[in-house]
Amino acid sequence: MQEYRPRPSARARELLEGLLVDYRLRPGDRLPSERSLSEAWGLSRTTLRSAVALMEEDGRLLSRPGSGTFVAPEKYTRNLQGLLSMSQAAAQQGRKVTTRLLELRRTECDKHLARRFNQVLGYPLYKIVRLRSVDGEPLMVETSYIPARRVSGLEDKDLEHNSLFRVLEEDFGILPVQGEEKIGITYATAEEAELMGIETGSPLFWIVSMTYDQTGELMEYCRSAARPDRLRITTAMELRTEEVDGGEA
Amino acid sequence: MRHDEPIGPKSPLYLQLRELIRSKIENGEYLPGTAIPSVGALAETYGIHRLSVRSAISALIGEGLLKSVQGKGIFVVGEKLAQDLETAGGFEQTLKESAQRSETRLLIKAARPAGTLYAGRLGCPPEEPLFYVKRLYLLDGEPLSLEEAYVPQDLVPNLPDVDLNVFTLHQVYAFYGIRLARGEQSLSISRLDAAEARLLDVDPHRGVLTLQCVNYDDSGRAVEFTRTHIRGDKCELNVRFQREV
Repeated sequence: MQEYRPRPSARARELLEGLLVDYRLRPGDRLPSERSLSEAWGLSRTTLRSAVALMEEDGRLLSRPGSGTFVAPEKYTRNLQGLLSMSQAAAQQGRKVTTRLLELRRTECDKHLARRFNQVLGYPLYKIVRLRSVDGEPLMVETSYIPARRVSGLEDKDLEHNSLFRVLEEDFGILPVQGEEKIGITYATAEEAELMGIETGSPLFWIVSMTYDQTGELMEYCRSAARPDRLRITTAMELRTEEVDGGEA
Repeated sequence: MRHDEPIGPKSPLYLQLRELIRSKIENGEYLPGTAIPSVGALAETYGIHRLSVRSAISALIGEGLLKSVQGKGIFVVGEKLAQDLETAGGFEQTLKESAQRSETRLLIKAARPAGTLYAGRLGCPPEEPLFYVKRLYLLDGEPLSLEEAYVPQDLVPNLPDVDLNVFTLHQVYAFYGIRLARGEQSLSISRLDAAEARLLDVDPHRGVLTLQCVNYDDSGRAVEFTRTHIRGDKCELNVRFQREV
């Protein structure tokens, strides 16, 4: 069988990523100089530079002109199991979430939302738009919709210093029980770009989540645009395999 | 399902051939994932009628020991084919538009040492020999995703002989009695280099969804590390979650 011979660009990427595995280099550490890496690995400096540039865009490395290339801070990790609020999850990772409330108002279901909530046009909702940052760095813009009849008086709650799910649970007795997320790619609008400090058109995670409460009702429909250089989404999976045959499984 | 009475010289020829093929599978002459000789070749070797060969083979297909693949041949399944019945908690790909025809193109199947990066991912020594498999998935002729898999060689030693256009890696694991039990998945958006962007037919600056998985067997050993680049304009990933009780 043939031995795999990676193209130089793939090899550069693998070797660079290899430096970050097992914390050989930790966030904030400086990479060896481009010249020494290119000599050690037998790769051209151009090849190395384009691999570094790709990893910078992906949020794994940071270049500071004049002082070198550094390992980027660990991304905020959002685990999709467990239903932890963002502030709880961040606390577990030793990080702090801050929230800026951009919009909180009553609105009505349009055709799309009416279908999601299984209601008629005009069904009253609260719309909540929040900019979430981790350790002071903007991470995502979240737009949530919640049935208004379940949370009347929501506008009096402090949603900048309290988690939305905690308010829903403690003040309104609404408990998230199960849900579903769809994750795709979107491209930053001018407004999102300005809020998150990126360029218009940069790729972002597009996360649509639907959370159901203990009564089985859709309690929140949420659309978020998140910076992929600061967010990693993880999940654990269990695989159940079964033999395919005529006998007892 | 086993033969009821012993096969002897007086038994019908198709039954003799059926048991001969069975024993060649059992003693490893015909390896799981590989094709057995064609109907014509078997008929000629043993001097029997093609119809008898066909009956022998269809009996073994019925037992699940062989699998017939249109235009490719008759393949040994060996261990009963396992099928992923259910995955709980993982990402599922949801297509944005329905498609008629899916197709897999094997781009690379090669040997390589783990190296630092994959040793870290799989928890093995850097010199561990791995198989590296790279495949392109297409829907209606358009690229959808590019998958790379890294698998320790000692887990699936005859992988070089297996036709990966016919069997999935998960089926190959089943041939060896490996049961995948759980996986860790991580999703990011990444930029591809020019060559990979061309394979997927995307603009490298637009980014792709990149799903990385380490899958473990029921003893906790890492069986594979996979990295799948998925076109965000064609596909979304879907996860369901539930409050732990």
